[in-house]
Amino acid sequence: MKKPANLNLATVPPVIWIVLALFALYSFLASGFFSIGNLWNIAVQAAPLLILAIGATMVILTEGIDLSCGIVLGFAGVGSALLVQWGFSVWLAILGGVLLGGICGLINGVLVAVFRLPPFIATLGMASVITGAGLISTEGTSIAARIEVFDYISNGALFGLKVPVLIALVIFGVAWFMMRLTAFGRNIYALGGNSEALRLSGANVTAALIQTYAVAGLLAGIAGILVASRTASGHIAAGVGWDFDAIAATIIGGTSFEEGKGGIAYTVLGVILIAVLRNGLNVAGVPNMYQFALIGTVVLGAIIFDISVRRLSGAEESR
Amino acid sequence: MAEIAESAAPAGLWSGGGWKRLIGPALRPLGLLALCVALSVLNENFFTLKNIISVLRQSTILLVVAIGMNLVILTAGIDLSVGGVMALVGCLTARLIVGGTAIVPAIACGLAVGALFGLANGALVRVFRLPPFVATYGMMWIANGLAMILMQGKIIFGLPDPFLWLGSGYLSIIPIPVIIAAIVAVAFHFYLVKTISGKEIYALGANREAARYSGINTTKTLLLVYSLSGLTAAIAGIMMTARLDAAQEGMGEPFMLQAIAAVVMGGSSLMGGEGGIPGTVIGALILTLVVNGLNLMGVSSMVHPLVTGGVIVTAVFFDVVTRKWSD
Repeated sequence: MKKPANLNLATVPPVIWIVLALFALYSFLASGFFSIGNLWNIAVQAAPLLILAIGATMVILTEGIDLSCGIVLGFAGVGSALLVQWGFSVWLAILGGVLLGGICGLINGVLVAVFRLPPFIATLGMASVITGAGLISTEGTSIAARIEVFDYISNGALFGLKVPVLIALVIFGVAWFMMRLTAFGRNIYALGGNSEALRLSGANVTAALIQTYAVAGLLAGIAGILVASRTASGHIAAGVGWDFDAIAATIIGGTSFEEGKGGIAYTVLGVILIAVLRNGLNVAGVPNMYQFALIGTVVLGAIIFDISVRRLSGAEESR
Repeated sequence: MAEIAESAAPAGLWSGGGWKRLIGPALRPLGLLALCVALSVLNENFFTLKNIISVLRQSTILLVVAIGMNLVILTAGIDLSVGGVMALVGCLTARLIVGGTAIVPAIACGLAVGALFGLANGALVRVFRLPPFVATYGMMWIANGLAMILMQGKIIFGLPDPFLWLGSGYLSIIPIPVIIAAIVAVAFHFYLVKTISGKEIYALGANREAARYSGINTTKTLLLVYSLSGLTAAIAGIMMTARLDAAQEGMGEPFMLQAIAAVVMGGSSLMGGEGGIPGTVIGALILTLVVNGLNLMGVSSMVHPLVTGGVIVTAVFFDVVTRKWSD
């Protein structure tokens, strides 16, 4: 069981250098990138991804993976948009969407912890099931939800911060607290590091694993509400590809699939990297269809770079 | 060992007797037979030579992708990029042909791109030690992205007849895709069972350390396995383009999960080292029959992802359970 080390200059993760390099490159290439307005844009765009990636990090720390979180994000948006259309109050609709995400996560957790399916299969299978459910309930169309609360969530400001950014920061704070100071967080680190020891210490390993996936589902639900409020609609495909971004942000941040190393504070860096990467391409006017291949390549490249640097420095330390 | 496995099990639900071990291997062919009988009863059009040939033809694309996937799964890996590679190769080949390239070089080019993607997967997994599902998931997005760039949001159709023959032609009453799939299946089966290289794949999946110590070049084997998976995905992508007379980005998407489902239903273990092509043939047929049955009953295609997802979760669940029996 290993807690993440404190950040200091001597151990700056490679991702920070990549982010700085990107900032310099974009400021040079894309006029209008380095402005207060655009930096806010980046923060607003990064907010749902950060929420999603916090869940992804928790799951990855248990040596698992959640490949369904992108679809769950879209499904939660669909759920709350449908509830709005059916005439439920806005807050119930939002709560319903988030809970829908939580239920999907709960099922993932049961499949992994109780039925012992490999996490990537359980969550891929769930992603397929949820896609089907979403297609059937929406006939494949986008469900409009033009309501004031959604407008406030996506565009409003509070305490000088844009609401999506504020929500993401609050969730990060709560998650950080839970990871550091509660049994929930300790169990997550122990599940990845040494689940046998956790079992022997008397903790309920199955319950801890289910909890982790359920919380990841809830977070995907919240991210789904943010995305739905931005587009004022719910669409099942709204989050396609987001799972890759969330997982990539986690790995680039330095959370590893082995031994429960890393944490959500690191993931913030990965999220910033991906948000900056996407935003810069948009500002520079690169068409959307070029972005998938480009970002996929950069992300895989960054992961390889990161792993190589870590392995080299790790080899030195062990000498 | 048995005690440890028992105590690790969440409950004593599936601690079974010896009869289950006897039935185990026969379960899949019997399931396939039961499904055929059920469908014949439900729909009189099912058990006709025409529909059977049509089912066989429908199953071929899935079967070819699943064969490559099977090799990867035998090494305890996974290839999530096959859908993306199918789409990319289909789009690339179609574009080359429409652009005036002769059919054979265009196909060769498509196959080479598929194999190269597979090789890159293998390198990411073996050389950079990425978990297979992360490496291949990333490559899936890259392949999809490249297909998007190639197509610029358009659909290509109106391909020349000799190319379409690969997807919809017949040799007397046997469809060409069935012949292609049969050749691929037989070739890979003999490769796995009869050659040393094939046996090394099983050894690698069963116990990687032991395989390394017994002198198997694990790097070479893994690179080969992932390349072959890219190659079969490429063949499937070309067959699909020829069958539909159309190429479009994202067209391979459903096949990733279906291929994994076919392999696991066919009795190959996701833990590696167990299973083979004959099982995968049965798995692919069962999955195709399920979809064919849904279509015959007039169920909307929007239900397909739900069914595929349910099938794969159930199949993997049974894989986990049966391995508990044999422990």
